[in-house]
Amino acid sequence: MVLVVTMVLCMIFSLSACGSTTKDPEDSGLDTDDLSTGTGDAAEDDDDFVIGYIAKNTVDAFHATINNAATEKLDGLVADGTISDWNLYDGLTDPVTQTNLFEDAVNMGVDLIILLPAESAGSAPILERAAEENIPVVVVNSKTDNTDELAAAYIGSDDVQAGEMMAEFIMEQIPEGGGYGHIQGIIGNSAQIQRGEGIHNILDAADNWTLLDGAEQTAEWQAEKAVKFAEDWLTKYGDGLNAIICDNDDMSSAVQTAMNAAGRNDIISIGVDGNAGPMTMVKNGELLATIYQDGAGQVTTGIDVAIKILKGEEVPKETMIDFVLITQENVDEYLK
Amino acid sequence: MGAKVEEKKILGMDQTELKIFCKRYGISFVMLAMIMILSLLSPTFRTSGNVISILLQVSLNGILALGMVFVITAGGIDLSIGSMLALTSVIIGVVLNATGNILLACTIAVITTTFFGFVNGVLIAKFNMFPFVVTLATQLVIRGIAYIISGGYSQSLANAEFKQIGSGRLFGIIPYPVIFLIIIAIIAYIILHCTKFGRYIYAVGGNINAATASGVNVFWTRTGSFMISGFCAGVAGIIMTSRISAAQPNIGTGYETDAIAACVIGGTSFAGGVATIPGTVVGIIIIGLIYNGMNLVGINSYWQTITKGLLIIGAVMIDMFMNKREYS
Repeated sequence: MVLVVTMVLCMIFSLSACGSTTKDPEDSGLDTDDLSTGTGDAAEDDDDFVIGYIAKNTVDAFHATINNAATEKLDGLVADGTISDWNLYDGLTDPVTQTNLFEDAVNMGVDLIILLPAESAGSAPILERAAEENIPVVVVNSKTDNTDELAAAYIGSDDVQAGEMMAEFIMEQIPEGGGYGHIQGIIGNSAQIQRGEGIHNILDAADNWTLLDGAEQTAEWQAEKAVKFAEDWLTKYGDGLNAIICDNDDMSSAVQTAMNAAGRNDIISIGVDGNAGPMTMVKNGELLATIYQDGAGQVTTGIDVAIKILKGEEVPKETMIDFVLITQENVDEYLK
Repeated sequence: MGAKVEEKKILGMDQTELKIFCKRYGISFVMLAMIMILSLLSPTFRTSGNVISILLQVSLNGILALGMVFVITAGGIDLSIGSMLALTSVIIGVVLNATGNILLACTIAVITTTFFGFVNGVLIAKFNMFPFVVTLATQLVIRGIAYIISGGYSQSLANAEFKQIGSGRLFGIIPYPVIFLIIIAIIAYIILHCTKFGRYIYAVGGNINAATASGVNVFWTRTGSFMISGFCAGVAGIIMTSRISAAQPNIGTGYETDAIAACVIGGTSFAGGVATIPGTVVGIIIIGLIYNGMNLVGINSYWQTITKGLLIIGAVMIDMFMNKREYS
């Protein structure tokens, strides 16, 4: 009985409300500007900037660091009145979701998009849509296929450099050479492609290093998948396995932990990013080294560039932030 | 008793009628309430541009859910649709880059996914294996095939006409994916509610033994439900591939969750035999409202996930409660 009454109340309430709300879109569609300034946000005045921030995801440690740096910086800009508002959209590492989020951002009346692409090919249509809507896009961290042509600016790091640094470190640590495995990120992502390119640039030219048969696999950036490959290779190749290069250090640190646990701490595992976990392991001497990607530096530089674009200033088309080799000697400078 | 019931007429209905009315349309009120709340909270939500965006955003999941509803109603579940999206994507990539024929690429892709739906159906209906286990396994097989065909690499599709499928708009207003969704919803409605096959789906899902005893062809009914789901996954895959204009073997992961969620929220019973297409459409829109509304209001994406989960539990509770009341 109670249910019935509640249902009826709910029904009457929503029906009557429905009558008025369904009318609203048509009325308000034409004069959104007046409406939105009236409620105090998302206005489209000339010096009232709104930034849409489309994150790659909010769950990877590396992207959480980037998002936090961006949040801090953008909140600061809202507080000092440089921009009026900003919004974080979670791309869920899915290009289709990112494309949808772009439409949401457009509807919110953003003046500029900061995009961290989920995929180099799949996220590319966002830039085409942005060009149609005349909204500048600042691409951060990894490129889409059309970034060079369509983005207002790109801020990232040269991932080929990271791959080369990893390969050089392995060669330096084990001068006599040996066999190595390569655990890749999600195939098709520009970081995966370019880090792999860097690794092969160096190690394909080295006579004393060989990529073990079947030991180049994708663990899609995920630590537990990487460990499974590493353990299988250890069983298969035993002493023939000397190094495991990973496309990120969530994977390399997990692999190193597994190798240490298997009594094979002579196997060197190295990766890229500089996440808190791996950095702490470097500090404790459990992981020899990692390549630090300054994600926070990328995104804060990206936001600086974005503000300049909004103010109509000239900006460099491409800004590169250097990678840093982190060992026990310099880890304290970078571990916050 | 009769007099007493008559006194309690609400909105011109007696209690039994009201109960049926609530059971049938209860979830629509949840949707209307959400629309109302979001309209109050966000001025952007009410703009016509946003309404079109929501429809565009739900079109993919909507088409998947409209296929899934047949499977669940017939007492099954299909976890393989996410992988089918990826397979569609790479097949289109290969065929389109080789021949440049859009119709051929799409036809081959849809035939392939429908075929895998048929395989799912045969394994389940013929060998009496659990749908959950079968489709859990075939999703791995199908994704593996997608990786093999593509060599693991994603590929840009530089075909402007193909891109129109996902990005073009009818009269410059209504996106084509939305039109696809509407057409498929109408066809699904006709099949489930107006044909003999539709009634068989309900019969098999409601009581498989009774259906067998009444001479229903259980094998083809169950297999047919999976073929419909495979077909819908193929169509959704075409739209998805077009929207990102890339052939990618790694896309579509987790898309089955939202499709199942839309069915359940829309009143589809996991026990089988209970579902309506209008209900499913409402479920689809509610899922879209969760994502769109929370993004507009600026709610953290972690909370969006939690909300979706709670809403599914709420919907199932309503479903159970109402069914119990009817029998008591």
